[in-house]
Amino acid sequence: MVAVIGAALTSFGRRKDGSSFRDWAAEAFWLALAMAELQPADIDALVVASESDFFTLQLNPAAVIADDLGLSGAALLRVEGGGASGQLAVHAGVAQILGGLAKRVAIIGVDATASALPGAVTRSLYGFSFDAWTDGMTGATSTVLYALSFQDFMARTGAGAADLAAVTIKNRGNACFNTGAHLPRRHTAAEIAESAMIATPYRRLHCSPLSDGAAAVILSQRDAAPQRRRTAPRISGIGSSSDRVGLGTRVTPGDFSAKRKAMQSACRMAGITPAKVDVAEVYDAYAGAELQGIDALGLAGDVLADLRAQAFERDGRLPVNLSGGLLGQGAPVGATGVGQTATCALLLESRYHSLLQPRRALTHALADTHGGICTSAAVTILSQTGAR
Amino acid sequence: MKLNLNLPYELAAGWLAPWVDALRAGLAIGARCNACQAVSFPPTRACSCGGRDSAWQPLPGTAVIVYRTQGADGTFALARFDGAASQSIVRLQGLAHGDLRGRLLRASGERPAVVLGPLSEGPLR
Repeated sequence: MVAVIGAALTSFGRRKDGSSFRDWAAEAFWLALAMAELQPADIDALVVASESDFFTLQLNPAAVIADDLGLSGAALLRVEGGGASGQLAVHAGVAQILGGLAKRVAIIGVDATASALPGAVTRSLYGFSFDAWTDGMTGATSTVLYALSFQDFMARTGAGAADLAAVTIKNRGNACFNTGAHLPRRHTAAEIAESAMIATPYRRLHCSPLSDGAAAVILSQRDAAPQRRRTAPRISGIGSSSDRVGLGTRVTPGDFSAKRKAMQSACRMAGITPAKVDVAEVYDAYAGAELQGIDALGLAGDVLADLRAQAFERDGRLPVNLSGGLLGQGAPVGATGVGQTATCALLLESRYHSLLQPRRALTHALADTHGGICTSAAVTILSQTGAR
Repeated sequence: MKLNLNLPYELAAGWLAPWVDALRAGLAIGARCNACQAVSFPPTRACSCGGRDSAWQPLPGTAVIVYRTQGADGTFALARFDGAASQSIVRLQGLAHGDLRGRLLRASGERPAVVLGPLSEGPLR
Protein backbone atom coordinates (compact mmCIF):
# COMPACT_ATOMS: atom_id res chain seq x y z
CA MET A 1 0.00 0.00 0.00
CA VAL A 2 1.33 3.44 -0.95
CA ALA A 3 0.31 6.49 1.07
CA VAL A 4 0.62 10.16 0.09
CA ILE A 5 2.03 11.49 3.35
CA GLY A 6 3.15 14.88 2.08
CA ALA A 7 1.72 17.20 -0.57
CA ALA A 8 2.39 20.79 -1.57
CA LEU A 9 2.20 23.21 -4.49
CA THR A 10 3.87 26.54 -5.07
CA SER A 11 1.77 29.27 -6.57
CA PHE A 12 1.41 28.90 -10.34
CA GLY A 13 1.84 31.90 -12.62
CA ARG A 14 4.34 33.90 -14.60
CA ARG A 15 7.28 34.45 -12.24
CA LYS A 16 8.93 37.81 -12.56
CA ASP A 17 10.75 37.80 -9.21
CA GLY A 18 14.09 36.42 -10.38
CA SER A 19 13.48 32.99 -8.86
CA SER A 20 14.27 29.84 -10.83
CA PHE A 21 12.74 26.40 -11.23
CA ARG A 22 15.24 25.17 -8.65
CA ASP A 23 13.77 27.57 -6.09
CA TRP A 24 10.21 26.45 -6.86
CA ALA A 25 11.15 22.77 -6.64
CA ALA A 26 12.77 23.40 -3.27
CA GLU A 27 9.77 25.35 -1.97
CA ALA A 28 7.34 22.58 -2.86
CA PHE A 29 9.65 19.83 -1.59
CA TRP A 30 10.28 21.35 1.85
CA LEU A 31 6.58 21.98 2.40
CA ALA A 32 5.68 18.42 1.42
CA LEU A 33 8.51 16.96 3.50
CA ALA A 34 7.39 18.92 6.57
CA MET A 35 3.84 17.62 6.13
CA ALA A 36 5.29 14.10 5.87
CA GLU A 37 7.26 14.64 9.09
CA LEU A 38 10.43 13.33 7.43
CA GLN A 39 14.00 14.50 6.82
CA PRO A 40 15.91 14.37 3.51
CA ALA A 41 17.87 11.34 4.69
CA ASP A 42 14.57 9.42 4.90
CA ILE A 43 14.02 9.71 1.14
CA ASP A 44 15.16 6.68 -0.87
CA ALA A 45 14.41 8.01 -4.34
CA LEU A 46 13.57 11.25 -6.13
CA VAL A 47 11.46 11.28 -9.28
CA VAL A 48 11.33 14.56 -11.18
CA ALA A 49 8.68 15.33 -13.77
CA SER A 50 9.77 17.94 -16.28
CA GLU A 51 8.32 18.12 -19.75
CA SER A 52 11.14 19.70 -21.64
CA ASP A 53 14.81 20.56 -21.42
CA PHE A 54 13.86 23.71 -23.31
CA PHE A 55 12.30 25.01 -20.09
CA THR A 56 15.08 23.99 -17.68
CA LEU A 57 18.21 23.97 -19.87
CA GLN A 58 19.06 20.78 -18.00
CA LEU A 59 19.30 17.39 -19.65
CA ASN A 60 19.16 15.95 -16.15
CA PRO A 61 17.17 18.32 -13.93
CA ALA A 62 16.81 15.69 -11.18
CA ALA A 63 20.55 15.95 -10.50
CA VAL A 64 20.62 19.68 -9.71
CA ILE A 65 17.37 19.45 -7.76
CA ALA A 66 18.65 16.55 -5.66
CA ASP A 67 21.86 18.45 -5.00
CA ASP A 68 19.90 21.49 -3.84
CA LEU A 69 17.76 19.39 -1.50
CA GLY A 70 20.51 17.37 0.16
CA LEU A 71 19.30 14.17 -1.47
CA SER A 72 22.71 12.95 -2.65
CA GLY A 73 22.69 9.20 -2.44
CA ALA A 74 19.03 8.86 -3.33
CA ALA A 75 18.10 7.12 -6.56
CA LEU A 76 17.26 9.71 -9.23
CA LEU A 77 14.86 9.46 -12.12
CA ARG A 78 13.38 11.97 -14.54
CA VAL A 79 10.01 11.21 -16.14
CA GLU A 80 8.68 12.85 -19.30
CA GLY A 81 5.37 12.11 -20.96
CA GLY A 82 4.21 15.46 -22.32
CA GLY A 83 1.27 16.79 -20.34
CA ALA A 84 1.09 13.49 -18.47
CA SER A 85 4.64 13.84 -17.12
CA GLY A 86 3.61 14.58 -13.54
CA GLN A 87 1.08 11.80 -13.26
CA LEU A 88 3.51 9.33 -14.81
CA ALA A 89 6.15 10.40 -12.28
CA VAL A 90 3.69 9.57 -9.49
CA HIS A 91 3.14 6.18 -11.12
CA ALA A 92 6.91 5.61 -11.27
CA GLY A 93 7.14 6.32 -7.55
CA VAL A 94 4.27 3.97 -6.78
CA ALA A 95 5.97 1.25 -8.85
CA GLN A 96 9.25 1.73 -6.96
CA ILE A 97 7.50 1.25 -3.62
CA LEU A 98 5.28 -1.63 -4.70
CA GLY A 99 8.28 -3.27 -6.35
CA GLY A 100 10.28 -3.08 -3.15
CA LEU A 101 12.95 -0.75 -4.57
CA ALA A 102 12.17 2.09 -2.16
CA LYS A 103 10.13 2.81 0.94
CA ARG A 104 9.80 6.58 0.67
CA VAL A 105 9.88 8.46 -2.63
CA ALA A 106 9.73 12.18 -3.30
CA ILE A 107 7.99 13.24 -6.51
CA ILE A 108 8.66 16.76 -7.74
CA GLY A 109 7.04 18.25 -10.81
CA VAL A 110 8.41 21.51 -12.12
CA ASP A 111 8.63 23.56 -15.30
CA ALA A 112 9.36 27.15 -16.22
CA THR A 113 6.81 27.00 -19.03
CA ALA A 114 5.97 30.70 -18.86
CA SER A 115 9.24 32.48 -18.22
CA ALA A 116 12.03 30.45 -19.81
CA LEU A 117 11.16 31.31 -23.41
CA PRO A 118 9.01 33.87 -25.22
CA GLY A 119 5.45 32.62 -25.58
CA ALA A 120 5.64 32.48 -29.36
CA VAL A 121 8.73 30.26 -29.17
CA THR A 122 7.06 27.91 -26.71
CA ARG A 123 3.95 27.67 -28.89
CA SER A 124 6.16 26.91 -31.88
CA LEU A 125 7.92 24.14 -29.95
CA TYR A 126 4.57 22.72 -28.91
CA GLY A 127 3.51 22.73 -32.54
CA PHE A 128 6.38 20.40 -33.36
CA SER A 129 5.86 18.26 -30.28
CA PHE A 130 2.92 16.17 -31.51
CA ASP A 131 4.52 14.79 -34.69
CA ALA A 132 7.25 17.04 -36.00
CA TRP A 133 7.47 15.21 -39.35
CA THR A 134 3.80 15.63 -40.28
CA ASP A 135 1.60 17.98 -38.21
CA GLY A 136 4.63 19.99 -37.10
CA MET A 137 5.96 20.66 -40.59
CA THR A 138 2.45 21.57 -41.71
CA GLY A 139 2.36 24.28 -39.03
CA ALA A 140 -0.51 23.00 -36.92
CA THR A 141 -0.44 24.35 -33.37
CA SER A 142 -1.61 22.65 -30.21
CA THR A 143 -4.80 24.73 -30.33
CA VAL A 144 -5.48 23.70 -33.93
CA LEU A 145 -5.18 20.01 -33.10
CA TYR A 146 -7.31 20.26 -29.96
CA ALA A 147 -9.89 22.27 -31.92
CA LEU A 148 -10.19 19.65 -34.65
CA SER A 149 -10.52 16.90 -32.05
CA PHE A 150 -13.22 18.85 -30.24
CA GLN A 151 -15.10 19.49 -33.49
CA ASP A 152 -15.52 15.75 -33.80
CA PHE A 153 -16.80 15.62 -30.21
CA MET A 154 -19.21 18.47 -31.03
CA ALA A 155 -20.51 16.65 -34.10
CA ARG A 156 -21.25 13.54 -32.05
CA THR A 157 -22.67 15.17 -28.91
CA GLY A 158 -24.07 18.57 -29.82
CA ALA A 159 -21.67 20.45 -27.53
CA GLY A 160 -21.44 24.16 -28.31
CA ALA A 161 -20.03 27.53 -27.39
CA ALA A 162 -22.22 27.83 -24.28
CA ASP A 163 -20.74 24.60 -22.93
CA LEU A 164 -17.20 25.81 -23.52
CA ALA A 165 -18.02 29.05 -21.75
CA ALA A 166 -19.52 27.16 -18.81
CA VAL A 167 -16.30 25.21 -18.30
CA THR A 168 -14.13 28.33 -18.46
CA ILE A 169 -16.39 30.25 -16.07
CA LYS A 170 -16.50 27.33 -13.62
CA ASN A 171 -12.77 26.68 -13.52
CA ARG A 172 -11.57 30.27 -13.44
CA GLY A 173 -14.29 30.94 -10.84
CA ASN A 174 -12.96 28.13 -8.66
CA ALA A 175 -9.49 29.61 -9.07
CA CYS A 176 -10.73 32.74 -7.30
CA PHE A 177 -10.64 30.73 -4.05
CA ASN A 178 -7.20 29.22 -4.75
CA THR A 179 -4.57 31.66 -3.54
CA GLY A 180 -1.93 30.01 -5.72
CA ALA A 181 -3.85 30.22 -9.00
CA HIS A 182 -2.54 31.87 -12.15
CA LEU A 183 -5.87 33.09 -13.54
CA PRO A 184 -8.52 33.70 -10.88
CA ARG A 185 -11.21 35.36 -12.97
CA ARG A 186 -14.93 35.93 -12.92
CA HIS A 187 -15.56 35.77 -16.65
CA THR A 188 -18.89 36.37 -18.31
CA ALA A 189 -20.09 34.46 -21.34
CA ALA A 190 -20.08 37.72 -23.31
CA GLU A 191 -16.46 38.41 -22.40
CA ILE A 192 -15.49 34.92 -23.53
CA ALA A 193 -17.41 35.29 -26.78
CA GLU A 194 -15.57 38.53 -27.52
CA SER A 195 -12.08 37.13 -26.90
CA ALA A 196 -9.87 36.46 -29.90
CA MET A 197 -10.59 33.40 -32.00
CA ILE A 198 -7.49 31.19 -32.01
CA ALA A 199 -8.83 28.12 -33.82
CA THR A 200 -12.57 27.59 -34.11
CA PRO A 201 -14.26 26.89 -31.78
CA TYR A 202 -11.48 27.83 -29.36
CA ARG A 203 -11.19 31.44 -28.33
CA ARG A 204 -8.37 32.77 -26.20
CA LEU A 205 -10.35 32.41 -22.97
CA HIS A 206 -10.98 28.73 -23.67
CA CYS A 207 -7.22 28.07 -23.54
CA SER A 208 -5.07 27.35 -20.48
CA PRO A 209 -2.11 29.65 -19.86
CA LEU A 210 1.61 28.86 -19.87
CA SER A 211 2.70 28.92 -16.23
CA ASP A 212 5.70 28.55 -13.95
CA GLY A 213 5.59 26.53 -10.76
CA ALA A 214 6.24 23.31 -8.91
CA ALA A 215 4.44 20.68 -6.88
CA ALA A 216 5.64 17.81 -4.71
CA VAL A 217 4.26 14.74 -3.05
CA ILE A 218 5.96 12.34 -0.66
CA LEU A 219 4.95 8.72 -1.18
CA SER A 220 5.56 6.11 1.47
CA GLN A 221 5.02 2.48 2.07
CA ARG A 222 2.40 2.75 4.78
CA ASP A 223 4.44 0.87 7.39
CA ALA A 224 7.46 3.09 6.67
CA ALA A 225 5.55 6.32 7.32
CA PRO A 226 5.81 8.23 10.59
CA GLN A 227 3.13 6.98 12.98
CA ARG A 228 1.01 10.13 12.73
CA ARG A 229 0.97 9.97 8.93
CA ARG A 230 -0.15 6.38 8.58
CA THR A 231 -3.77 7.44 8.13
CA ALA A 232 -2.87 9.62 5.15
CA PRO A 233 -4.72 8.95 1.87
CA ARG A 234 -3.46 6.04 -0.16
CA ILE A 235 -3.03 5.63 -3.89
CA SER A 236 -5.57 2.93 -4.58
CA GLY A 237 -5.37 2.80 -8.36
CA ILE A 238 -3.16 3.90 -11.21
CA GLY A 239 -3.67 3.42 -14.92
CA SER A 240 -2.10 4.56 -18.14
CA SER A 241 -2.65 3.90 -21.81
CA SER A 242 -1.98 5.39 -25.22
CA ASP A 243 -3.57 6.15 -28.57
CA ARG A 244 -2.32 6.68 -32.12
CA VAL A 245 -0.44 9.98 -32.42
CA GLY A 246 -2.21 11.24 -35.53
CA LEU A 247 -5.80 12.39 -35.03
CA GLY A 248 -6.57 11.16 -38.52
CA THR A 249 -5.34 7.67 -37.70
CA ARG A 250 -7.86 7.29 -34.89
CA VAL A 251 -11.29 5.76 -35.47
CA THR A 252 -12.94 8.66 -33.62
CA PRO A 253 -10.68 11.74 -33.46
CA GLY A 254 -12.72 13.36 -30.70
CA ASP A 255 -12.81 10.38 -28.38
CA PHE A 256 -10.14 10.19 -25.67
CA SER A 257 -10.04 6.40 -25.79
CA ALA A 258 -6.63 6.17 -24.07
CA LYS A 259 -8.15 7.93 -21.08
CA ARG A 260 -11.00 5.44 -21.01
CA LYS A 261 -8.57 2.51 -20.93
CA ALA A 262 -6.38 4.15 -18.28
CA MET A 263 -9.43 4.79 -16.10
CA GLN A 264 -10.62 1.22 -16.46
CA SER A 265 -7.22 -0.03 -15.29
CA ALA A 266 -7.13 2.36 -12.34
CA CYS A 267 -10.69 1.50 -11.26
CA ARG A 268 -9.94 -2.21 -11.50
CA MET A 269 -6.90 -1.75 -9.26
CA ALA A 270 -8.85 0.41 -6.80
CA GLY A 271 -11.86 -1.90 -6.81
CA ILE A 272 -14.30 0.89 -7.59
CA THR A 273 -16.39 2.17 -10.48
CA PRO A 274 -16.15 5.74 -11.82
CA ALA A 275 -19.45 6.50 -10.06
CA LYS A 276 -17.66 6.22 -6.72
CA VAL A 277 -15.36 9.18 -7.47
CA ASP A 278 -16.26 12.09 -5.17
CA VAL A 279 -14.06 14.79 -6.65
CA ALA A 280 -11.90 14.98 -9.80
CA GLU A 281 -9.07 17.04 -11.21
CA VAL A 282 -9.46 16.62 -14.97
CA TYR A 283 -6.93 17.72 -17.61
CA ASP A 284 -8.43 20.87 -19.12
CA ALA A 285 -5.70 22.25 -21.36
CA TYR A 286 -8.69 23.57 -23.33
CA ALA A 287 -12.26 23.96 -22.11
CA GLY A 288 -13.54 21.27 -24.45
CA ALA A 289 -10.87 18.81 -23.35
CA GLU A 290 -12.46 18.75 -19.91
CA LEU A 291 -15.75 17.61 -21.46
CA GLN A 292 -14.02 15.01 -23.63
CA GLY A 293 -12.15 13.87 -20.52
CA ILE A 294 -15.20 13.56 -18.26
CA ASP A 295 -16.91 11.59 -21.00
CA ALA A 296 -14.02 9.17 -21.50
CA LEU A 297 -13.41 8.75 -17.79
CA GLY A 298 -16.99 7.57 -17.37
CA LEU A 299 -17.72 10.22 -14.76
CA ALA A 300 -21.05 11.08 -16.37
CA GLY A 301 -23.67 9.20 -18.33
CA ASP A 302 -24.35 12.36 -20.34
CA VAL A 303 -21.57 14.87 -19.81
CA LEU A 304 -23.44 17.77 -21.42
CA ALA A 305 -26.63 17.17 -19.45
CA ASP A 306 -24.62 17.03 -16.24
CA LEU A 307 -22.63 20.14 -17.16
CA ARG A 308 -25.83 22.04 -17.91
CA ALA A 309 -27.31 20.80 -14.61
CA GLN A 310 -24.20 22.21 -12.87
CA ALA A 311 -23.16 18.79 -11.57
CA PHE A 312 -19.47 19.72 -11.84
CA GLU A 313 -19.69 22.96 -9.86
CA ARG A 314 -18.16 23.39 -6.40
CA ASP A 315 -21.39 22.30 -4.71
CA GLY A 316 -22.44 19.86 -7.42
CA ARG A 317 -22.69 16.09 -7.52
CA LEU A 318 -19.09 15.74 -8.67
CA PRO A 319 -16.92 18.84 -8.32
CA VAL A 320 -14.46 18.92 -11.22
CA ASN A 321 -11.32 21.04 -11.05
CA LEU A 322 -11.89 22.67 -7.70
CA SER A 323 -8.31 23.94 -8.00
CA GLY A 324 -9.28 25.84 -11.12
CA GLY A 325 -7.65 23.22 -13.32
CA LEU A 326 -5.17 24.16 -15.98
CA LEU A 327 -7.53 26.90 -17.13
CA GLY A 328 -7.58 28.65 -13.77
CA GLN A 329 -4.80 27.35 -11.58
CA GLY A 330 -2.38 27.27 -14.48
CA ALA A 331 -0.16 24.83 -16.33
CA PRO A 332 3.53 24.49 -15.46
CA VAL A 333 3.51 21.21 -17.34
CA GLY A 334 5.72 18.95 -15.23
CA ALA A 335 4.04 20.25 -12.10
CA THR A 336 0.51 19.76 -13.40
CA GLY A 337 0.02 16.06 -12.71
CA VAL A 338 1.95 16.15 -9.43
CA GLY A 339 -0.11 19.16 -8.41
CA GLN A 340 -3.33 17.32 -9.22
CA THR A 341 -2.25 14.40 -7.00
CA ALA A 342 -1.26 16.81 -4.24
CA THR A 343 -4.61 18.58 -4.55
CA CYS A 344 -6.51 15.29 -4.30
CA ALA A 345 -4.51 14.26 -1.22
CA LEU A 346 -5.13 17.60 0.49
CA LEU A 347 -8.84 17.41 -0.34
CA LEU A 348 -9.13 13.89 1.10
CA GLU A 349 -7.43 15.08 4.29
CA SER A 350 -9.69 18.17 4.46
CA ARG A 351 -6.58 20.36 4.30
CA TYR A 352 -7.36 22.18 1.03
CA HIS A 353 -8.22 25.86 0.59
CA SER A 354 -11.12 26.32 3.01
CA LEU A 355 -13.57 27.83 0.54
CA LEU A 356 -12.94 25.00 -1.95
CA GLN A 357 -13.01 22.14 0.54
CA PRO A 358 -16.32 20.27 0.10
CA ARG A 359 -18.39 20.07 3.26
CA ARG A 360 -19.16 16.40 2.78
CA ALA A 361 -16.63 13.67 3.56
CA LEU A 362 -14.63 12.50 0.55
CA THR A 363 -13.55 8.91 -0.02
CA HIS A 364 -12.20 8.72 -3.57
CA ALA A 365 -10.49 11.46 -5.62
CA LEU A 366 -9.32 11.25 -9.22
CA ALA A 367 -6.32 12.95 -10.82
CA ASP A 368 -6.29 12.83 -14.63
CA THR A 369 -3.75 14.03 -17.17
CA HIS A 370 -2.68 13.33 -20.71
CA GLY A 371 0.04 14.20 -23.15
CA GLY A 372 -0.56 15.01 -26.80
CA ILE A 373 -4.22 15.10 -27.82
CA CYS A 374 -4.78 12.39 -25.23
CA THR A 375 -2.09 10.29 -26.85
CA SER A 376 -0.52 9.31 -23.50
CA ALA A 377 -3.09 9.10 -20.72
CA ALA A 378 -2.40 8.65 -17.03
CA VAL A 379 -4.88 8.64 -14.14
CA THR A 380 -4.48 8.15 -10.40
CA ILE A 381 -7.16 7.32 -7.84
CA LEU A 382 -6.56 8.32 -4.23
CA SER A 383 -8.70 6.94 -1.43
CA GLN A 384 -9.25 7.81 2.19
CA THR A 385 -10.86 4.74 3.59
CA GLY A 386 -8.81 4.01 6.72
CA ALA A 387 -9.27 5.32 10.24
CA ARG A 388 -8.70 9.05 10.49
CA MET B 1 20.71 35.77 -17.18
CA LYS B 2 19.89 36.19 -20.86
CA LEU B 3 20.84 33.54 -23.39
CA ASN B 4 20.10 33.58 -27.08
CA LEU B 5 20.61 30.05 -28.32
CA ASN B 6 20.56 29.37 -32.03
CA LEU B 7 19.74 25.75 -32.82
CA PRO B 8 20.31 24.83 -36.48
CA TYR B 9 18.29 21.67 -36.23
CA GLU B 10 18.55 18.86 -38.77
CA LEU B 11 15.49 16.63 -38.63
CA ALA B 12 16.17 13.55 -40.74
CA ALA B 13 13.19 12.26 -42.71
CA GLY B 14 14.20 8.65 -42.11
CA TRP B 15 11.69 6.09 -43.41
CA LEU B 16 9.38 8.97 -44.34
CA ALA B 17 11.86 10.25 -46.96
CA PRO B 18 9.80 9.09 -49.98
CA TRP B 19 6.71 10.81 -48.58
CA VAL B 20 8.64 14.01 -47.86
CA ASP B 21 10.18 14.00 -51.34
CA ALA B 22 6.74 13.50 -52.87
CA LEU B 23 5.29 16.43 -50.92
CA ARG B 24 8.09 18.63 -52.20
CA ALA B 25 7.13 17.56 -55.73
CA GLY B 26 3.47 18.26 -55.05
CA LEU B 27 2.55 14.58 -55.08
CA ALA B 28 0.67 12.50 -52.54
CA ILE B 29 1.80 9.00 -51.72
CA GLY B 30 0.43 6.88 -48.93
CA ALA B 31 1.53 3.65 -47.27
CA ARG B 32 -0.50 0.60 -48.31
CA CYS B 33 -0.51 -2.11 -45.64
CA ASN B 34 0.56 -5.43 -47.12
CA ALA B 35 -1.73 -7.25 -44.71
CA CYS B 36 -5.07 -5.41 -45.00
CA GLN B 37 -4.41 -3.17 -48.05
CA ALA B 38 -5.57 -0.05 -46.13
CA VAL B 39 -3.75 3.08 -47.26
CA SER B 40 -2.63 5.63 -44.69
CA PHE B 41 -1.92 9.28 -45.46
CA PRO B 42 0.14 10.54 -43.78
CA PRO B 43 1.82 7.16 -43.81
CA THR B 44 1.98 5.13 -40.62
CA ARG B 45 4.71 2.61 -40.05
CA ALA B 46 2.47 0.22 -38.11
CA CYS B 47 -1.03 -0.35 -39.45
CA SER B 48 -4.02 -0.41 -37.10
CA CYS B 49 -4.58 -4.02 -38.20
CA GLY B 50 -1.22 -4.97 -36.74
CA GLY B 51 0.56 -5.15 -40.09
CA ARG B 52 4.15 -3.93 -40.10
CA ASP B 53 4.99 -4.08 -43.79
CA SER B 54 3.74 -1.62 -46.35
CA ALA B 55 4.40 -0.34 -49.85
CA TRP B 56 4.21 3.19 -51.21
CA GLN B 57 0.96 3.92 -53.02
CA PRO B 58 0.49 6.97 -55.30
CA LEU B 59 -2.72 8.88 -54.56
CA PRO B 60 -4.60 11.34 -56.79
CA GLY B 61 -3.79 14.21 -54.41
CA THR B 62 -7.38 15.30 -53.97
CA ALA B 63 -9.04 15.30 -50.56
CA VAL B 64 -12.34 15.94 -48.82
CA ILE B 65 -12.42 18.21 -45.79
CA VAL B 66 -13.92 16.55 -42.72
CA TYR B 67 -13.42 19.24 -40.05
CA ARG B 68 -12.09 22.74 -40.53
CA THR B 69 -10.73 25.29 -38.06
CA GLN B 70 -9.62 28.86 -38.54
CA GLY B 71 -8.43 31.78 -36.45
CA ALA B 72 -5.25 33.48 -35.35
CA ASP B 73 -3.31 30.21 -35.70
CA GLY B 74 -4.25 29.89 -39.39
CA THR B 75 -6.69 27.77 -41.35
CA PHE B 76 -6.36 24.01 -41.00
CA ALA B 77 -8.48 20.95 -41.50
CA LEU B 78 -8.72 17.27 -40.90
CA ALA B 79 -9.07 15.89 -44.43
CA ARG B 80 -9.26 12.50 -46.05
CA PHE B 81 -7.21 12.08 -49.23
CA ASP B 82 -8.93 10.13 -51.97
CA GLY B 83 -7.69 6.57 -51.84
CA ALA B 84 -6.69 6.75 -48.15
CA ALA B 85 -8.46 5.14 -45.23
CA SER B 86 -7.06 7.56 -42.65
CA GLN B 87 -7.27 11.33 -42.38
CA SER B 88 -4.57 13.98 -42.38
CA ILE B 89 -3.98 17.36 -40.79
CA VAL B 90 -3.71 19.85 -43.66
CA ARG B 91 -3.19 23.57 -43.96
CA LEU B 92 -5.74 25.25 -46.22
CA GLN B 93 -4.61 27.83 -48.72
CA GLY B 94 -6.85 29.72 -51.10
CA LEU B 95 -9.94 27.64 -50.42
CA ALA B 96 -13.28 29.37 -49.94
CA HIS B 97 -15.09 28.71 -46.68
CA GLY B 98 -17.68 26.52 -48.39
CA ASP B 99 -15.17 24.43 -50.34
CA LEU B 100 -15.36 20.85 -49.17
CA ARG B 101 -12.68 19.46 -51.47
CA GLY B 102 -9.20 20.49 -52.41
CA ARG B 103 -5.97 19.40 -54.04
CA LEU B 104 -2.51 18.97 -52.57
CA LEU B 105 -0.22 21.88 -53.35
CA ARG B 106 3.51 21.61 -53.83
CA ALA B 107 5.24 22.23 -50.50
CA SER B 108 7.11 25.50 -50.72
CA GLY B 109 10.16 26.37 -48.66
CA GLU B 110 12.20 23.90 -46.66
CA ARG B 111 9.34 22.44 -44.68
CA PRO B 112 7.36 19.59 -46.27
CA ALA B 113 3.95 20.91 -45.26
CA VAL B 114 0.71 19.22 -46.27
CA VAL B 115 -1.19 22.08 -47.91
CA LEU B 116 -4.55 21.83 -49.60
CA GLY B 117 -5.57 24.37 -52.23
CA PRO B 118 -8.42 24.74 -54.75
CA LEU B 119 -9.13 21.76 -56.99
CA SER B 120 -8.20 23.83 -60.00
CA GLU B 121 -4.65 24.31 -58.71
CA GLY B 122 -1.78 21.97 -58.09
CA PRO B 123 0.54 20.06 -60.39
CA LEU B 124 -0.93 17.88 -63.10
CA ARG B 125 -0.23 14.21 -62.67
